[in-house]
Amino acid sequence: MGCELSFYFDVRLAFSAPVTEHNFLLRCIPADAPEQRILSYTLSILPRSAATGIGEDAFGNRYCSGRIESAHDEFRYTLQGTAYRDDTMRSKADPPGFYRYPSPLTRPTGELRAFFESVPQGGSPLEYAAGLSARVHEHFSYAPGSTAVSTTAGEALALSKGVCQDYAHVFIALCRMAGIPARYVSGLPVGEGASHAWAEVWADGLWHGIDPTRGCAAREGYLKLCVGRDYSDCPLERGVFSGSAMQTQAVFMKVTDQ
Amino acid sequence: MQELLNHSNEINEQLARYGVKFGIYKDGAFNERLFPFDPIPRQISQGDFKALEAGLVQRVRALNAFIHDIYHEKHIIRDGVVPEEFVYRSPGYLAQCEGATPPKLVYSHISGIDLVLGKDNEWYILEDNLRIPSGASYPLIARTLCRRCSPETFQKNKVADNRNYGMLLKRTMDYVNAGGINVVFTPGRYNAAYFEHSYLAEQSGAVLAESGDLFVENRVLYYRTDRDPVRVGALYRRVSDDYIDPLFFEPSSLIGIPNLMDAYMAGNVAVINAPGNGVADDKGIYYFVPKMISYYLQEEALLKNAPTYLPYFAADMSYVMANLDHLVIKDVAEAGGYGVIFGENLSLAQREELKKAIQLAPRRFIAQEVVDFQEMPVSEGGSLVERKADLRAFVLTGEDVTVWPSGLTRFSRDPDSFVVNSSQGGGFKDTWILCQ
Repeated sequence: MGCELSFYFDVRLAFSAPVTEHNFLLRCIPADAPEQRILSYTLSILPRSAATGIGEDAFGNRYCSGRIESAHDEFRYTLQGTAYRDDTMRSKADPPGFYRYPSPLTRPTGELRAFFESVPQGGSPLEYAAGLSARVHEHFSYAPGSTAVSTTAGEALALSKGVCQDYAHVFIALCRMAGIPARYVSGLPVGEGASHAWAEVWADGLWHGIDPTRGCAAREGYLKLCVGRDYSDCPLERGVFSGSAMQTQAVFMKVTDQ
Repeated sequence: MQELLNHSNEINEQLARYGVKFGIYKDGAFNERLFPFDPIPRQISQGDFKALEAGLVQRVRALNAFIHDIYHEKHIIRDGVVPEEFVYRSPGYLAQCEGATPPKLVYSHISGIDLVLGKDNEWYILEDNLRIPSGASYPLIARTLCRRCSPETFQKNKVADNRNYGMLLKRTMDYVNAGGINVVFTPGRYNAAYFEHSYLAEQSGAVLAESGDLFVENRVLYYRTDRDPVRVGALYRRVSDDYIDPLFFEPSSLIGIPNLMDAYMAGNVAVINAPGNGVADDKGIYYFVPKMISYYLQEEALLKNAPTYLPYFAADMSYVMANLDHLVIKDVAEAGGYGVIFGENLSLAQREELKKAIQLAPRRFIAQEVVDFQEMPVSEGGSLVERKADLRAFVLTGEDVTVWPSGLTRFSRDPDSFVVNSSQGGGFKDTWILCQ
């Protein structure tokens, strides 16, 4: 049942004035896991003077750290490769304990608790989680620009609107309240032109992808880039630099199945 | 002793000129106070020190084993000794440090263990400070000034020399150094403890650096110089976990080093103390330290905790509910002494309110018996008064675990206060370890 996914990302960051001492951390290299084997990938970074290293973080994500010392007004990275997705190969190893507890962006609030209690319990843990996802999906309206990357689950619920990240955070907070381990996933479904966020829940000894924004399961058509307790653990890209400049970003991202 | 009392003003003036203030860095905030020096030292006999030393060495070894276990196999959770939520809900636990293995497996290189001497002549541990315990420089510089004012005092009294702290610190850094120079990493000159940072750098022969002086490239930490950058092998950081690296932790931090965690996880630099070690100095975890000692070392704890109850456990909850009027309640979420409530000071209504709060969130509170600890003479306006005092012992972990033969004795200035935290006001004394 597996499928091969090819991916191609081209991200360009333009600065209005030259910047120096630019340090960055990219988590865009897809995770190599039993259910998602990375067959090949090439990451290239401009300017070429960038000094980089590859590492693995506490959540199992492969990242690229780097530094560009000299002045530059454009930063660009391209990543292309192929992955083999096969959900029958999912690992049966116990999830880390921290996926059962609140994280910085998913702390329970009174409102989250009340919302949680409005969802009927029942069925298997996976059915319960699917019910929570459905509740989030119907309660929220998708509204780009209404929230920011630092918006918490509690804040998003108070607005009842947001983007995929907010849907995922609220859903994860609810799962953890229900005692179901849950984690945040950043990635890209086939056919989308920008990064997406969903969640995985631990039930019956396996991780199951659930996409509360779309209100469906997240299976082999989803390329996983990185995971964490919430967004703050795994932004696709972070950077700091010296200089006073405005940034504009142009993103091209594509995943296709063959 | 009279000699030292006569020089009291002179010594305090010199301390003020050096900028000796006390700043406690806790939960991301500094409390800065003038920190008056009282010249009457705390004296500990050689025999008492030996006993204290054995207990502190044992405690720090167990804490170090605990931190390693928590970020790796978690045997102590699986074996049911420490409930997992005390770990995962602790603000000091950092999931980002899972699997990180520091050079030579040292996590708590410099530990500041706070104790009090009970009226029963026994030492009781008040708390363990494993993140950035400060204060070693105060008795160190006070001793130097006292020796200068009154050298004969130290000839008459056989006092262990405490001026080896810089050497102990250097040895601690050298042992874990992953190749390169030793650096003391300070948030900068506006930090209340900047005096201590610069003084300790000087004493240990390390370079004092701020974030702009350091950078990471190819997973290696470097110090900038006028010529080629120099590799850093050990970083004694005085910046808290949240702020050490804007790419791995708090993104708004301007005092951190981008990608420091990357260099650390690659094993290319020792970070002193290791990020995430605050999981072991949590007020809730404190309760479990004697259990850790028997779990990891198969030894009985030599030093006592203050008798502590966790309302999380049903039996402890009923005890706390029945005895709230004579217990101290500590809010695990707060630090610095402000979250400490003495049951006897509460009105009946307040007591009922606190009981409800404890029942609602048992994990958030610990309860302790009030330890009646000894008072010490303090000179105040030319006469001697009795004040409560504690002791912060500094324990350094390198190849061996060493207790510095001195320590920071802090006293309360309020005669009725049991809280000897410098962020609540108070002063300090030198601590003499006698040679016999």
